Amino acid sequence: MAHKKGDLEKEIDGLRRYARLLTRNPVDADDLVQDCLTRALEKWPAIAQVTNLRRYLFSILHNLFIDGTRKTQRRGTVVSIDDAMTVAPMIQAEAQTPNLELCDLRDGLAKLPEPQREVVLLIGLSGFTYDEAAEITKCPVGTVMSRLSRARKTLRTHVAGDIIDIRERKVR
Amino acid sequence: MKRWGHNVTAILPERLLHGYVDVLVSPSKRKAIEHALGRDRDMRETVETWRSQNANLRLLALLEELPPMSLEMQGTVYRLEGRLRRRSSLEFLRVAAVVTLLIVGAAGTAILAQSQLTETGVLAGLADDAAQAHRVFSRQLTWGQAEPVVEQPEQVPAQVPATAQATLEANAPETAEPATSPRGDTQTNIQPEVPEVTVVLPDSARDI
Repeated sequence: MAHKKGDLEKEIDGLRRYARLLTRNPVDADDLVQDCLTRALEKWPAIAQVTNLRRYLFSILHNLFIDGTRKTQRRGTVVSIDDAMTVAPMIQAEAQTPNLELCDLRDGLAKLPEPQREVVLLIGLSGFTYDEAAEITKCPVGTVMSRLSRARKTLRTHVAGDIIDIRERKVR
Repeated sequence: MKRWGHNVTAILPERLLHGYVDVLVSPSKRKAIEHALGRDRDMRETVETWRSQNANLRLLALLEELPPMSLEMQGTVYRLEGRLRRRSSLEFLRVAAVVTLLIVGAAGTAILAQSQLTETGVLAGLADDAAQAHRVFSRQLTWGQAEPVVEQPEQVPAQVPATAQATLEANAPETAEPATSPRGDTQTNIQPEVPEVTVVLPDSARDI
């Protein structure tokens, strides 16, 4: 597959946006993307044979995110004071309704279990098919679809003002 | 199978609705789903909600302005892009090599075919010659049907120079011209006419 100059930068923008919504932290997201690119460089002979570079990069990112999540679960989350004091800049006086909806969506995303959040972002944001999402997350297509279904229901309930069922978070 | 709402008129698998929202179903299924959606308000609302979720996710990602990449990330991207471009050029070289091989192969095949044709022509010529020779020799060797062999007369130069003619006549052995008898038979033992020679001896020779 011929590669044009600038294609990779577009992919990296998509990766960064995906990582930001996935990690909910811009610094962590950029670190994740940087690790992903470094891993891609380290695996160069393998990546040379890859036909779909975008899917491959997202797959590496997923693996790194899972590894990082496991480490965080062992160590606990570290939040800086600046981040904790930051007020969400999304809420503005103008056009409040759509922004509120977006804020609800972002909050709902943050409360989703990570596997569900990942699937919703891969399909809804990055536009992957169910098969591709299954390859990236290394789970069956049926699992991807059930995670997607649960995540959409949860988000709908959250945006509508209901309380997210906490039991959903424990489902993987 | 799942029902939506109280007045459900159509029953669709939920996965089909998700596929419809994510534009992953075939056009025929899409029409069937749209037909079912037209009859079910609750299902339509569900689909609209999921669609707006997707749109809002994209909007959420776009609204958040990305800061410029760090220098470290830029360096990594630059290195990765360089390797990808090298891979593209390697692929181009591979394609060029394949095309060259194809051209060389085609040319070789053409040359080989031409040489085979020439060889066939030579063989055909040889076969013609052999057939001709067979015809000629078979006539001579066939008993009873042999045709008289026509002897070719000896070729004599048309104009012989006078001196050469004289030399020839002088050196020519005496050959008896065939005489024809009155009956027409050819007589070969006829002596040629010898002219009379008168020898005049001198007087001194008489004394001896």
